[in-house]
Amino acid sequence: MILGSRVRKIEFGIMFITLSLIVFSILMIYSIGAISDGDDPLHFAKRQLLWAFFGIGIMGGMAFLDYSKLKAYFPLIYGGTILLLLTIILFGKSTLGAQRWISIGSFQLQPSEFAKLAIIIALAAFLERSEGKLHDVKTVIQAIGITIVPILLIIMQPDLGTALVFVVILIGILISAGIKVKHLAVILIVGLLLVAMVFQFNILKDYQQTRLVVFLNPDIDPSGSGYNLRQSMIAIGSGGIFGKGLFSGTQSRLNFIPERHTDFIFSVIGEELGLVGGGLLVLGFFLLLTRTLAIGANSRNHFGLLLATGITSMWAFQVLINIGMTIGIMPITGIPLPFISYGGSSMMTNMFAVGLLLSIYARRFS
Amino acid sequence: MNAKKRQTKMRLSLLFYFLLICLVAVFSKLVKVQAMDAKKYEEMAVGQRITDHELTPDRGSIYDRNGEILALSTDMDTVFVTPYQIKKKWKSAKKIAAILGESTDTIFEKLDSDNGFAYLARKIDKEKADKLKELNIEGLGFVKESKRQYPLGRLASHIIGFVGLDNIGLSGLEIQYDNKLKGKPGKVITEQDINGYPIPGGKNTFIPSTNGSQLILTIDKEIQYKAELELSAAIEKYEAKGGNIIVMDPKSGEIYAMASLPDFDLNDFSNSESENFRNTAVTDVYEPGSTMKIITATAILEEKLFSPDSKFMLPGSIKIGGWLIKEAHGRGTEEFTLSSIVTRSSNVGATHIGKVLGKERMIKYIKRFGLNSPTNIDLPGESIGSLLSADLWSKSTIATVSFGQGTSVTSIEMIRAFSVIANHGVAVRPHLVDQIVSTRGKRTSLASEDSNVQVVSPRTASLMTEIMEDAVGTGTGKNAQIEGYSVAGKTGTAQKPNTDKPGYSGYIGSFIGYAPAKDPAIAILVTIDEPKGAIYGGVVAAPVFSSVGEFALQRLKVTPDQVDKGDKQQ
Repeated sequence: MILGSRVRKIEFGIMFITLSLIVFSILMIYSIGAISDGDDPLHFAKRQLLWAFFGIGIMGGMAFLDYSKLKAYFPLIYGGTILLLLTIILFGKSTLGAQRWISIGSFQLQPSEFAKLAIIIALAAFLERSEGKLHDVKTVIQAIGITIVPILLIIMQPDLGTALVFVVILIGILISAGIKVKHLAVILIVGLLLVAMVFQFNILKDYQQTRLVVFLNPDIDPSGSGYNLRQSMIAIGSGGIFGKGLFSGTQSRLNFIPERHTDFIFSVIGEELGLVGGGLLVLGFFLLLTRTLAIGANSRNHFGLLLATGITSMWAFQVLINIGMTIGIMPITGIPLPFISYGGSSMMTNMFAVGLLLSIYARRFS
Repeated sequence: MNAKKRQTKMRLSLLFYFLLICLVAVFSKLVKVQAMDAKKYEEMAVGQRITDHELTPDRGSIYDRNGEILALSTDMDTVFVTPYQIKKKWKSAKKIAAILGESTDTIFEKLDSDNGFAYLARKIDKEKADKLKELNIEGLGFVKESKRQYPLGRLASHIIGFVGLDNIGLSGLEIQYDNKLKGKPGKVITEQDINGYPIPGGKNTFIPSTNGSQLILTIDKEIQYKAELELSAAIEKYEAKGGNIIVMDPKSGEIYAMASLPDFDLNDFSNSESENFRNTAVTDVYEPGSTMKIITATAILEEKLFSPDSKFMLPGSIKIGGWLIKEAHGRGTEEFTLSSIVTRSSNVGATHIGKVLGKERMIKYIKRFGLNSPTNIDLPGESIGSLLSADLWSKSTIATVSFGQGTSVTSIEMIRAFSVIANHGVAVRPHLVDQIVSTRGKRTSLASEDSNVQVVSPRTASLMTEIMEDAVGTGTGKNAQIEGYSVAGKTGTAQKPNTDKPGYSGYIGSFIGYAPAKDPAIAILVTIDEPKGAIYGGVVAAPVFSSVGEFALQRLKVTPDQVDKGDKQQ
């Protein structure tokens, strides 16, 4: 019976989906091979495997802990995150025109990944504490205030895409927390006005503006900014229904696709595994997100519900933006595909989130 | 609490359906890209991977009749750039500009262009190319391109002609025989990655190129050189605008030398005035003047209207159709023979016999001598002379045409006409290419006797030769004499019609002749355009004939036919 109750405490569905995604990720990264001539073709696959092991450890550890205990630490988690984001602006390493990394030994930490989860925890904790007070504008504004600080710090890096993830997390959590439709409408309208202002006063960096323009019309500049999108579409389109097979993606293997093990990994999947492979992956994400929402719905408390919807919002937005940009329905940003894109920070964050979900599920009755 | 739970469920359902719609949208787009448009993208993918490289064939060389090289192709380095691969564009541009000797701005513009490809410099010295390679700038590429070179520079520039940067003939024989010279390009079709490296195991198709054929000309480099030298000396001496010289074998039509001045440097044609590109011996017409009297006199003899010894009492001038025809040098009434009308170049005499010949026969002989039709020489842009059509002739036209005014010819037409007489009445086709040699060694000879027509009888021709020998021996053409050889020829001094208004201004002095007179090896035409100080063909052109003729006859090892030199000199 003890074993039986243990087993009932484990959400095998989400574990299975997550582990499948990770195996799939390592397989695809292995298929891509070396990025530059002469590199170890297994370099990235090996590292991703290492991240996966770390991630599974974190997931397991978190699953055993009572997620409710996190509530008490939320000011610490929040403060620590803000500090980390400040550090990166002061001492960070810049790649591709943005400062997103902190080097620790040979590893590079991307604090904005961890910050996503930290903000989910902080918002969930804050809103549980103010449960029932959300009809009050003050509470809404406070919630916005909690989110706006990391958003501004990340915009300063500058990493507009990741900043948008925070906006979506906030909106997702507010909706599930029961925000008034009127307040939500005001937030959306003010948000749109802000976007309009950003354009009006040229706050966007040149490359950000070009990316947006190119997104609207990719043929403007095929060898410049439209290049990434064009190459990605050619790769995915030429994959057809069944794909060219693992290790056989002509476009992805021949350096036509940029950032193909990270941001543009879906282009490789689309080319090598076709509509079938890409479609299965989309289905996998759909199942993952459905399970996550269900865990939230069955949570013992408001905190668990808000955590789960926050995580759902984060993953859903990243999946939509990342896959969407490779097929030209979303602008190009540096947002990774959860569990699939190569990267340790992202892997740890997502596995931590899975651990949280497992913990919420396991404690749904108590 | 229950109501609250229901509300939460509703909100979660809202999130769920929103998510569902988004994922369905993503999947639909995937279906569109991967199922409906897959073919289009597959083609784009193949188009990106597969690149054709043209293997440029070597353009055929051009040789003179003795195998001296006149034009050849050598491999030069061309530098191109893949702009988006260049880092530190300004710094790179600075370094490149220093080597190429161009402004940094110009180079930067190329490095910063939106294209995937731009030429930085085409066909540059190996030295410069090596220096650029040493810079080791990523994004610079080097290919070999064939560059046409003309080792003799200005020599025979109008004949040989030149090619453009893309090695396509633009003038002269280079354009005339472009199809033969250029060869057939080959092709390598390779699958390659974005950096242009071939994909191991990728498709590779190789179609070799066929090099262009070689041309062997009838030109003799030495005679060409001498002809250009003498012509330019005369032009300089008389401060003339220009001139033509043609040295031809009157029996075969092979051209030993042909030059039009001013000329240009084939290796630097882009910096030359395009006005000078015209090979005026072929492209321009002029009023021939007295050399035309040969046609008139030949027609008289062929029609048996008079004999060389027929006598005429000629006044110092003659009025016809309201025009007063005078001699070049005034005289009283004198007795002439048909022969001396030619040798002393009498305009009044020519008018007289022209009237006897009449309009129809005059026109007939001008046409038979080919003065109004292309010679079909193997050069581009040949013009033809013109003659008023019969119904437009005024009373005076027969007079002016008889001594070569009011009608026009090209130099090449004129030397062909004289060659008819030299060649015992038979017309030949002037040509510059003797043989075309394919890469496999197959020789095609272009000499053909199909076009050779008997224009006048051999008897008429030999009578005319005798008259022209006199013209050189005792008449206006004394300066054309060549030591050791008999020379037949005729001077011409023609007024130039204005191009912009009626009337005449300036002169063209000319001499056309051949030697040895009885069995000629060469015919030479010399025209001097607008000489100053002296105008007469016998003064400005005949000496050129003499020195070029002497050189050519010796070079061609023609046996002298006159031992008693000095006897001729009177």
